[in-house]
Amino acid sequence: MLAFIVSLVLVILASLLQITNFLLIGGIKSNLLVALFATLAHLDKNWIRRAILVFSSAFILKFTPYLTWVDLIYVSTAFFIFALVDYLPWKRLVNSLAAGITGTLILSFSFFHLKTFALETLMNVILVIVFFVFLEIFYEGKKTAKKNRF
Amino acid sequence: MRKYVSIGALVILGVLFVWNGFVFEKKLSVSSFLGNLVDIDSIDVAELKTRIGTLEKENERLKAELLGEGDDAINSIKVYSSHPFNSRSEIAIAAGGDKGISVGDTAVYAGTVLVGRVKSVFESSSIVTTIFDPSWEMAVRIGNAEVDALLKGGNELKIYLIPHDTLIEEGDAVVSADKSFPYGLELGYVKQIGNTEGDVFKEAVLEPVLQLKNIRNVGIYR
Repeated sequence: MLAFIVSLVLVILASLLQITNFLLIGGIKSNLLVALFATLAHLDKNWIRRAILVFSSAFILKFTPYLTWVDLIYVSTAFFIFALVDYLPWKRLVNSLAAGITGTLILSFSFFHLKTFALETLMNVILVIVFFVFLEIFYEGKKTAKKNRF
Repeated sequence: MRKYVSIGALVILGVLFVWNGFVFEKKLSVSSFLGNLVDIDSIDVAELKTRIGTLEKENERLKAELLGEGDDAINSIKVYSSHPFNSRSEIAIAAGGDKGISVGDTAVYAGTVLVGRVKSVFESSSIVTTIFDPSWEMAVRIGNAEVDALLKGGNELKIYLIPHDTLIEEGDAVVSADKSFPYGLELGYVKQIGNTEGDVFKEAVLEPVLQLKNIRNVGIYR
């Protein structure tokens, strides 16, 4: 339960930061949520708790009072990231990286610009690696590694 | 029991996700507060100098308005937050229908720098599409020769359709010349010119005056 509460706090903070200009580097925003979901997917396999994380962030990130396609794409992408991490057959870090890159690609799809996508992907990959290292140090170090579902 | 609590929380979040009109503006102000909190140490001296410059400019303009030379503008509206993803460049501002803002109004920074156009208006907040949005297009004029061209938005602002036989130089000022906006709003300077022999038109890269990262307040021209 503690892991879930920590995850929820991190997701809420990341979502609030995501809608500020603080993350802008050279006019490009990294996607903290994509990186966070790609890492937190290893922590909790319960889909109800995952859904709470996804909808908490979606509620904060919503840029209009009503529902738009961007919101639906974001929620679907978040669930897809969790599923990719679960079902990809590679090592855990590689799964997270692949899920993070795929999530970035889907969210960039409506206005695809190669240079922007490449830079955002690079930032997100670095974030995934940093989050993964933190996860290994603070949480997974105390547990035995779980095998991949394949 | 824990399972039912989780499902209950999920249902509430689902409802908030579909419709969050009643907490929308409060949510934006919380993120604005957090943004200011984390950003306070990242401001360097150069940025502060730029800010002082723009504030001095704004001060002059406000003085002029107080003396009766003002126009139909709303000044100093707080910027709440910006769109979370790179696929769009939009900002939420703390004024809406209650201040008479309507869709299509022009958002400016320091009175003379074009920020963008109001896209949607709510009771006490509005969404502004900025010049950095990938879908942004507008007519501009370059330099003292007032050469007509087309500006396209995105992470890197580009100017297209510059007639090949016209003389423009790096550093030339670029201003708005679109019928949707007041004429002559500042956009930036020509940074780099792409010249291809034999082409009818040439292209250029714009160095924008506006830095979204530093923007805290905007004004609205109606």
